[in-house]
Amino acid sequence: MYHYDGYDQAFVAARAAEFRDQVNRRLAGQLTEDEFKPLRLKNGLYLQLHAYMLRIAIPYGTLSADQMRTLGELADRYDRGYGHFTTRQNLQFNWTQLKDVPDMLDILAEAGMHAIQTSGNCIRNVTTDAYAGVAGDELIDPRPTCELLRQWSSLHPEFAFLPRKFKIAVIGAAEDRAAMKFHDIGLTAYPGVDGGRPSYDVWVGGGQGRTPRVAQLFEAGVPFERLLPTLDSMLRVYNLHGRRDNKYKARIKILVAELGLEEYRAEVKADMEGRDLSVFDVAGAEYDRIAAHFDIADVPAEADVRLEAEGDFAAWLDQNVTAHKLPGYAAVTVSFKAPGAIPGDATGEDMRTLAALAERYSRAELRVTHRQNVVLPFVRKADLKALFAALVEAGLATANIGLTSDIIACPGLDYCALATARSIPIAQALSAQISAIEADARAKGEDPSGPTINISGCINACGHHHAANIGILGLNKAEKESYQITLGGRADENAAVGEILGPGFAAEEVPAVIARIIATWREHRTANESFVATYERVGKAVFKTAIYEEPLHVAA
Amino acid sequence: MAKDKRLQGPSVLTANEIMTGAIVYWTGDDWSTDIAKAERAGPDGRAALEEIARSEEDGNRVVGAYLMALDPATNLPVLLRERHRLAGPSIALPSAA
Ligand code: SF4
Repeated sequence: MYHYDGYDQAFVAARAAEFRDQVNRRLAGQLTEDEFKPLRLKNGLYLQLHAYMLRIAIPYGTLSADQMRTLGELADRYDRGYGHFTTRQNLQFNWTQLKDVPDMLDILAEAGMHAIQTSGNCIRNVTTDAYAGVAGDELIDPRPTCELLRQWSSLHPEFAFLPRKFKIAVIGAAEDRAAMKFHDIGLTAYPGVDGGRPSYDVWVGGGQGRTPRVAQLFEAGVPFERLLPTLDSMLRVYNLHGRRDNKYKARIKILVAELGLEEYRAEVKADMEGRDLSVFDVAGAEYDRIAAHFDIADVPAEADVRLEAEGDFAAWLDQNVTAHKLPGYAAVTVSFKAPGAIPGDATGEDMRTLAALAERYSRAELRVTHRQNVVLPFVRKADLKALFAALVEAGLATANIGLTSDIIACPGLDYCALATARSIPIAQALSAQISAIEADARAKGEDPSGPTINISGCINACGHHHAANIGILGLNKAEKESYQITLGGRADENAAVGEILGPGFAAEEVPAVIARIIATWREHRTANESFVATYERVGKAVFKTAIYEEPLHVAA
Repeated sequence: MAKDKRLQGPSVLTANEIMTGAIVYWTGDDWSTDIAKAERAGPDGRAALEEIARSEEDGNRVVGAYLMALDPATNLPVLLRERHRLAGPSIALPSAA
C-alpha cells in the first residue's frame, strides 16, 4: 500500500499545525463561528445533533495495521470507545471535543492520516473497490489512480469552493463493487497501451440524494496522459456553470442534465484546448512512483490449499471469503453486521483486534468497504481456519457478507443533524429478524441469499437507499417517523435507481413490510433468480398488491 | 412567525457549548446541560432570550444558539428532531455492550 513520503508527511503535519492555530484563535475569541465553520469543515469537523463529529479520511478505504490501531486509540482516548465506518469508506467519531481535535489531528498526521476534505464543497475522499489489488477478476489495481487523484485534488486551489461537494470513484474490474455509477465522476481503469499505465472510461453525473441519477458515459478509452487534463477541465466547467443559487440543484448531475451531455462535453473539450497542459506532464512519473507502492511482486508464493470445512466455518468460508488474484491466498471480509448490531460501528477494542489480525495474517493491511465492513486482503488459505477461530474469539465472525442481513445504514436521527428519522433501530430490528431466517435456511441446506437492504435517515441518501434492492428512507411526517420503501435499485455495473413502492410506513410496521416483500419475491422467483431479476420481470404492481392489499396487523 | 403553532407555548434557549460541543440550556444566568434548570419563556419573553443567544454567541461561549419550543402538555420539545436531540441516541452505544 501507499506510504507517505517526506513531502506528504510535511504536508499533513503543516495542515494539523495550521488547524491547531485556528482552534486556538477560535477558543480565544479571535474567530467567530461564521469565520471558523468553513475552516473546521475543511478539516472534517461537523457539529452534529449531540456533539462535534470528526470524519477521518481513509483514502480509497486502504489502511495499515498501525493506522487501524491509531484509530482504536483515538476511539478510546478521545471518544466514547467506538467509531463508525461510513459508506464513503471513512471513519467518524461521534463525540469529539473541539479542544481535543488538534491533538487528534497530530496523532493522525503522525500515522500518515488526515481529515482534509472529508466535508465541504470540494473533492471528497476518492473511493474504490474494497478488493482492489487482490480481486481475482481485476483488470488493473485502481488504487494508484486513486492516490494520484488524492494528490491532485488535495487543496487544489481552484476547486476549494465548488458549487457543491464532489465525489469520485475508481474501479479496475468489470464487476462494480464500489457503486461507481452513483458518483459525480466515475472511472473504470484497465491496462493501457503505454507502459502499463491505465486507460479509462470516464462516467459523469451520477449521484444519490434528492435527485438520484445513474452516471452517463462521458468518454471511453481516455489514455493515461489525458486523464488529469480531462478531469481538471470537467471540474472547471462544472465550477463555472454549476448552480450556486440552489443547493439542491448544485451537483454536477443537474448541470449535465440541464446542459445536455453533448454540450457539457463540448465545453470541456474547448476548455482543454485553450489551456497549457504541460503542468500535467509530471503525472506519469508520479503514477509510476505511486504504483510501485502497490506492487505485490514480493508477496511470497503459496501452494493452493483445499479446505475441509463444515458448520460455522463452512458458512463463513461461503460468505466472507473472496477469490484472490494470487494462488494460495484469499481476501476475508469481517462483518460489522452481527444480528442486532449497529451497521459499521466498531469499538476501539475491535479496531485493535483487527490491527493485530492484519499484522499476523494479512501483510499488515486492511480495507474499509462501502458496505461498512472491513477486509483483510492478504490471508493465506492455510491460515483461514486459525483466523476464523481468532474472529470467533473476538465476536467478529458473523457469516453474512452480501446477504440481506448485511444492511447498510447511515447514522440517522440518533446522531445526524440533518436526519428526518432514525436509521439504526430499523437496521437493528431487520438484521435480528433476517439473520434468524438466514440461519434457518442454511440449516436446511438452502441458499440464504436475498435482496440488499440499505437505509438512509433523510433524502441526502448517505445510506445509499436508492441503490439497494430494497431501499428504506426515513422521513418526518408531521413530527412522526415514516419510512418510504423503494424497490429494484442496484449499485453494480447495471446500476439502477429504486422505484418508490407507495405510501410510507410507521417504524413498527417496517419489519413486517420487508418480510412480505421478501416472501413475495420467493413466491414469484424462478430457480436461483435474484431479487432484482424477479422484480424487473414481474414488475412493481405485484409487490404493491402484496404489500398494501392486506392490513399488516402490527401493534403500534 | 406568530402563526406558527410551535411558538405559542413555552420556549427554552439551547445551544452547543463551544469547547466540548455538549448540548446546553440557558438557566437565566448561565448554561447547564440539564433542561430541568432551563429558563422558560412565553411568547413575550422570547425577544429577550434571542438577545441572550446573540450575545452568548458573540462572546464565543456557545455555538448554534436558538429557541426550542416545548409542548406545554408534555413538556417535551415539539419537534421530533429536538426530542431526539434532548434524549440522546435511542440505542445502546457499542462501547457499553
Ligand atoms: S442520509 Fe441524512 S440522516 Fe443519514 S447520515 Fe446522511 S444526512 Fe444524515
